[in-house]
Amino acid sequence: MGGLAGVAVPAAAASTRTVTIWSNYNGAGLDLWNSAVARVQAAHPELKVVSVGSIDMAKSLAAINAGTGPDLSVSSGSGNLGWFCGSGAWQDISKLARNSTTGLNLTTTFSAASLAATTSNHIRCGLPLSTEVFAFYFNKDILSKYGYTAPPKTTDELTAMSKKMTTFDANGDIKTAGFVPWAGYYGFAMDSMWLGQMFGAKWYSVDGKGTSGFGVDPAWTAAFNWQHHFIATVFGGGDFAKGSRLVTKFVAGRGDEWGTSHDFMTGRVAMKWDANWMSQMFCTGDNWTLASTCTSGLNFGIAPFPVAPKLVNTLYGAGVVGEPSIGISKGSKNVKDAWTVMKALATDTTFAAAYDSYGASPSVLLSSLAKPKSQPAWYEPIYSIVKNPKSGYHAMQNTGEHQEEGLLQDLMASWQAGQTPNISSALSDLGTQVNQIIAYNK
Amino acid sequence: MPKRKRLKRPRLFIFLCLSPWIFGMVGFTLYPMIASFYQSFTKFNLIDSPKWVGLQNYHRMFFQDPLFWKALRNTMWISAISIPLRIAFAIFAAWILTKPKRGTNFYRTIFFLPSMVPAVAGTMVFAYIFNPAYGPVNRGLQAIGIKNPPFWFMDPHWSKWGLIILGLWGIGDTMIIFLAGLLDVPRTLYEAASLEGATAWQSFRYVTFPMITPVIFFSGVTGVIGSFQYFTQAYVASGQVNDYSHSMYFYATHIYHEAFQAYDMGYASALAWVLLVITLFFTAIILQTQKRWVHYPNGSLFK
Amino acid sequence: MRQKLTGTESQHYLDALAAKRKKKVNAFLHAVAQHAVLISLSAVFLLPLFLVTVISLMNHGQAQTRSLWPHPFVWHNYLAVFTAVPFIKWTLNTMFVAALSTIGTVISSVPPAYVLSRLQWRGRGITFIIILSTMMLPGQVTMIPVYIIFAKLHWIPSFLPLIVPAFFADAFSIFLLRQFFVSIPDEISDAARIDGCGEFKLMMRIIVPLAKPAIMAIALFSFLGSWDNFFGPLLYVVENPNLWTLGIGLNAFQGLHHVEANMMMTASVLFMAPVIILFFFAQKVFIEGITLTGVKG
Repeated sequence: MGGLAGVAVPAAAASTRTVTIWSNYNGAGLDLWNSAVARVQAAHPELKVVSVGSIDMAKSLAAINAGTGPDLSVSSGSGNLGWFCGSGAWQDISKLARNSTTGLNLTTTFSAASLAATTSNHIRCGLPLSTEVFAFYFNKDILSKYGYTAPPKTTDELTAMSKKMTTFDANGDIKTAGFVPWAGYYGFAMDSMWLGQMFGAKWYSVDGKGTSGFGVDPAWTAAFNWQHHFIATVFGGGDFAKGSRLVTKFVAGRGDEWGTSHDFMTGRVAMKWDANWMSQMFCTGDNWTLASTCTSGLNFGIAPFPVAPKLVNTLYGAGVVGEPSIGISKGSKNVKDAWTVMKALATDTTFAAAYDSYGASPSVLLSSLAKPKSQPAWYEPIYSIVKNPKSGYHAMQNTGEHQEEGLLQDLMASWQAGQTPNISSALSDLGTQVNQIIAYNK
Repeated sequence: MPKRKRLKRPRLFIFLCLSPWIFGMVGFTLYPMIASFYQSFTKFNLIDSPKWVGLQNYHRMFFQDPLFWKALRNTMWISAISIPLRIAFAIFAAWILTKPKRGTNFYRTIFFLPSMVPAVAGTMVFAYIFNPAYGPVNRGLQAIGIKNPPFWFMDPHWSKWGLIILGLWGIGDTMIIFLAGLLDVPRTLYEAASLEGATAWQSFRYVTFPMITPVIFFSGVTGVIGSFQYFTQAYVASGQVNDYSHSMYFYATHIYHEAFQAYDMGYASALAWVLLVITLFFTAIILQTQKRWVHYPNGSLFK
Repeated sequence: MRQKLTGTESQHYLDALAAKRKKKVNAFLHAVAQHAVLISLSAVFLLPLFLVTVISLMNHGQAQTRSLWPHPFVWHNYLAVFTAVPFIKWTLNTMFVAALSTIGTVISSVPPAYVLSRLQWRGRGITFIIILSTMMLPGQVTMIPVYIIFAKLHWIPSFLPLIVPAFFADAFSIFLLRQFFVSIPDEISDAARIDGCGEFKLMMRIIVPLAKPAIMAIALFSFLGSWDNFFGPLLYVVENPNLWTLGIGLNAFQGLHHVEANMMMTASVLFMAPVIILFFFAQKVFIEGITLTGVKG
């Protein structure tokens, strides 16, 4: 019969100094992680370090709350830090980090963005591991066909260039698009976050108090109005409803995400927000490898996000980053030993470099040893985005499993379909709703 | 054989025969019902023990949960439209199956076949054929002159209609019971009607229809119960598209979301009990009115 | 002997012939109209199935164009599905759960149906009404505590929550079997009892064999219900991909790497095929079974 029990609960760690780590790594990634764990074990023979892979965060959280959780757990996405930290599942580690003998100088070890992403409501709950990077990808051939040699730096340029590069077929439907700022174009459900990043919109703490920024930061309204204008201008010839309809149809006919019929690879879209780990497919097609010279035939480049014109000098150069992080569970019996292991794992440059090569997931460690030597030159922009202090996710709050992202995404989808008459009041309502969720979760 | 002896042994036998059902009833029905009723007054997330919060869940449901009202509205809407539509279509399809003299079995098989298709597969197929960009349905509609056919699942105003059409496609199982009902109508009644000069419509209205009211009653009750629990097709379809406006978000979806995605078990239990009350309410209405419009050839519902 | 007709008589005769011909033509036109409707309805019912089969044979580029006939026929898709996803494992899982829960349903539902129909005892009517009313209960009301029971037993994720409850009888099956048992003449039971036959033997050796059609019907319904079941596996099995059933796997299909729209259709065909084949062989049983439930309440 199929598997009967859940994961075996580790034996009580009272007598031996055992540190258990649960993570979501699997397959080859888990092998790399376990090698890192083995290195820690070798360096600390007085401890017993146990690693269990393939456990998702909800399970970890449930176990931690039940008192049967691990000492350390790895969260596979930034969005969950608020959840873990805010609910108290992960402990505050700032004291441990500040310790003069066993501490860690965070600002000289990790990138600024990653440090911000592992803090929730000014409480440091975790250490960052690697990161994924969302950047601006552009098709060099299509750009040069229309006389452009560089990707757009501002949102105005983005609109103008997209308008030129968008073509229509005999029925009036969109044949190729310059750029598609549209919730749900391809997976990830992060379009609204990327849109906000272009305008430097704040998710929280405009007033420093940890409340939602949706209704408070005018950059959100600006971002959504820009999207509205973009759809109307680029696709609808000035008519928003027409543009919206055409884009809906265009998106419905998109090529498959995981394969060479991806819109960006076929040239159906000329520029798009995308993840660093899609570079492999863009470079070598179904081979999914990073090569110095790409074989897929797609001549593409990577750049930071375009930004609102007035922010060019302050914000350009950044993108969106998100990281897996590692934290100490509440109720862990070996906090000091857990910190030792956690520190070692988070600063393991061998693991960092190997994981980057394998999963194309750059490290957040400032040390040059963390970067594999074999990365191709065209992949460099990803690393500059990682190092740019303005790259970010957002300061997390406890909204459960990052509900606020889903809610914002829904709002964007409703807005782009013409279903939301007043975006300012809708954003304001959303802010109120998010604050209610945070209060409910306290 | 003395009668007394025969009465005693069967009692044990009866109990043994019923025991699996009895244990199932107690363990999987009675106890959970009581437990979930209690849990509806608590806040708990499966791991921590339940914390009593009184009427807070019910208060939140009615006053602070816009998704509750959205889910309820969607569920009421789709029930009100699809239950009568399904019954009407089932009657029509069954009726037309009684007409021809040859090939009935062949047609019956074809009509019944789609209801054999698993819900997940059927929904995915329909998501494909209703695709606004390359789906054959819109292509066909454009060919007959409809310039801007709806975006079906991708348009909040049309997505539920897509689900209704999917449901009508699988009408086979409902149709079959109507077919049996129609075939059960005694021929003598039709002959008498035609002797009195009844038209086809009159014959249907005054002979056929009264005779199948028990089947309509049965379909109505099962339809209400089933449609208030509608989940799979909506879940799969909304996963295929970006259903941001929750146009395919039904009551059962909300319960699932609250229980297994937000892990708010107490609230989900409260939602479930409100659903039970609503279901009982509508079933009671149907049961009460049945005396007036359901015609039983053999007397009444309960023999 | 043919008599020569008078003037008015022959007129009546011709009128009668004309009327008969008209009736025949009308009947013919009626038949044509009926068949036209039947054929169009059949086409509508079959169209989605036809389309999904056709698309399952296209290559991934073509599946998203507007063409309706594969150019070329990619039979390879049917093999590719098995390498792209663990389709065989999903199928075996689904069959395993379906087979075991069918066995459980049959074994546990026959005896209650028997005692509710072939024996007289106090409380029989009430019990039957209780069983009927449980069919009206929305599953959600019991779902969460049942889930908690299984969680505390550490049966999640596993097949046990999908199989074990089947062994505690199913209201619908009891109902259907009872309706059938009721139609078996009392004399058969009486005669056997007079001959000294014990109840259990009577049930197993005499009544049950007579009820084969109904038992086959509930077995088929149970199998089909389990094969189609999405919500149960969604709750109890989804955390362990090794235990996924076809429904869960198919739904997750699109999110998995290297899977395209045309292959989703291929997988759908493979998912539907076993039950459709089963249906063709067991049509009569299915249809008679459904008929047993609905007609007169």
